[in-house]
Parts: sequence; structure tokens; C-alpha cells
Amino acid sequence: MDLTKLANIPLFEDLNEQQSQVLAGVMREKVVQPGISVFSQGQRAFSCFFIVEGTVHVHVQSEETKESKLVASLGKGEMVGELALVDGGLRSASCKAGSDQVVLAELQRDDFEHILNAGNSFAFRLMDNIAIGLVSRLRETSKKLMQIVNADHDA
Amino acid sequence: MQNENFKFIRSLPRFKRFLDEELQVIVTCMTQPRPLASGENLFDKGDTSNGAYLVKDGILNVVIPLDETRSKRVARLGPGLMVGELCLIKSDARSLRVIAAEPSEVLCINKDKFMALKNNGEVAAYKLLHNITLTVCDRLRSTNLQIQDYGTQKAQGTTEDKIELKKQNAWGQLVKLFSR
Repeated sequence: MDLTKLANIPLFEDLNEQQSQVLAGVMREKVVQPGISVFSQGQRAFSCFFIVEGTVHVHVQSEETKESKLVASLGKGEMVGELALVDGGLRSASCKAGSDQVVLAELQRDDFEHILNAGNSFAFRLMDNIAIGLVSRLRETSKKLMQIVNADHDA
Repeated sequence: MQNENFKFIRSLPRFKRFLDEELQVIVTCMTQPRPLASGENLFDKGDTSNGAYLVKDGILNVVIPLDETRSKRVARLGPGLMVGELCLIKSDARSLRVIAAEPSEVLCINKDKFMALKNNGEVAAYKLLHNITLTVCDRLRSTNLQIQDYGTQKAQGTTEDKIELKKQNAWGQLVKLFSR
């Protein structure tokens, strides 16, 4: 896809000519109409998305009560579905386009691994970014779980 | 020493997707701390992190300190398993205590040396990062599920019996999280 659309996303800055070309070759543009789903919770995950244009709403559905809750609204430059690049498990949330059309840049897991192993600095930066984000989330959720356990332990 | 460390990590399933030359790079950021006596802390909750540890010999207990006197064991780690690896991603203080259950030997992947490899753009360092992130992902998915489950139970007005069961499950979950 045309990388100029990604020009002001920090992750994509300062790439050399060759790295930009490789990336342009593996990124696919995906246009999603207003209110239409990008992916659904529980689906097998093979790729992650960078938002080029528009807003994406993230919903999580409780497995037991089937109640769905809006957990985030993401805009230009943000990334969704990045766990897919690491473990290719099932989607942990559902994403759909907001009231305007959404333009996404899609990166497949296989392509990501390929450019990471080839030493592409975008892949390095993305890996760092995903890793730090995940550790922060894990620390937060572990703390929450420990509080629950601790409270019960004291009771 | 480097050769011996190379042979050891080459034998571990965790590193099976690494090329020999990549493992040689990882070995350059490894140090061998002095052996631990039984009952000695490898690190304690709140300590500054200086690296990830691989159990070479012996058994380590991973413990959550509850207060001054009480603590809860969440994992027992034998040879080949890694502990404290999150600091290679994000440099926070230790969140758990790790104690030698018997005389033990560990290898350390030094954080500063690992960071230097990363800054140098070494693919091996990023492969290790990818590998550790996989563990993080796994733990995150299980923790989220557990919390979601807990929230639902609370919202439905749980009986005492169910709470007791949940408590046990939550501990079971924590044990699972840290046993990998």
C-alpha cells in the first residue's frame, strides 16, 4: 500500500528507503464502511491493524452474561489486534468502524515475523512497542487479580 | 564458560527456533551469579531488576509476599525455566520474591547487556523479546479471563461457598500463570 498515508504515525517514521519499500510491500489497505465489523471476539487472529483514517470502537463481551461493553475508541495512528502478531490466538475483543468510513493498514503475522527476522527497524520498533504495552497491561491485571485474591484471603 | 552456557541454552525448548549464531549472541549477555544456598533469595519484591534468570540446577520457589510474615507460593521452577524476564521488556521493580528451595545454580541474562544488543539492532535480541512477549501474552489472556469470570460471579450475587471456590480457583490461576 501507499505508505505516504502512514507518514505521520510515529512507528513509521525514520525508515530508510529499503525498509519503507519492504513495508509497503507487506502492508495491505483495508477500507471498512461505517458501523461494519473489522473483526469479532473469538475469531482466530492472523493480523493487526493500524488506523490510517476514522475511528474504531473496541467492545468486549462477557463470556457468561453475553453482555457487551465499549472499552476503547481508537483513532488515527493507533493500533488494534496486535496480540495476533505475537501468539496468533483468538481475538480478545470485537472492533467495528465508527460513524465514518475507516481506512486501515493491515499487517499479517507471517510478514511481521519475516521482517523482524530480517532486521527491519520498523519491526523492531513495533516489537518493542507491543512488548511494553503488554507488560504494562499484565502488571495492571495481575495487580487486580492479586487484590481480589488478597481481599478474599483476608476475609 | 561461554561454551558451556551455549550448550545449556541450546538444549532448551524455549530456544529451539534460534539459529546457533543467534544463541552465541545471547550467550554474550549471560553471567553466572554465585550459587544460591537453600532458603536464599534470588531477589525480593521491590528489588531493582537487573536481568532474567534461567534455572541451571536446583529448584526455585516463586512467592507472593502477603504481608510481613505471610507469603504464598505460586510456582516451583526447575532446570531450564526462566524467571524475572519481564524486566528485559520494562524495567520495573520486582513484583515477586524468588527463593532457592534447595542449593541452586542460575544463569543471568544481564539487562544492560541485553539492552545494548537491542540498541545495536541484533536480530537475536529481538527474537528473545518476541519469545518473552509470547509468555506475557499467555499470562495476560489467562489473567483477563479470570478477572472477567470473577466480576461476573460478584455481579450475580455469589454465595459464600461459591466465593470460597472462586478463591481457590484464583490461586490456582495465579499458580498457573507463574509456572510457565
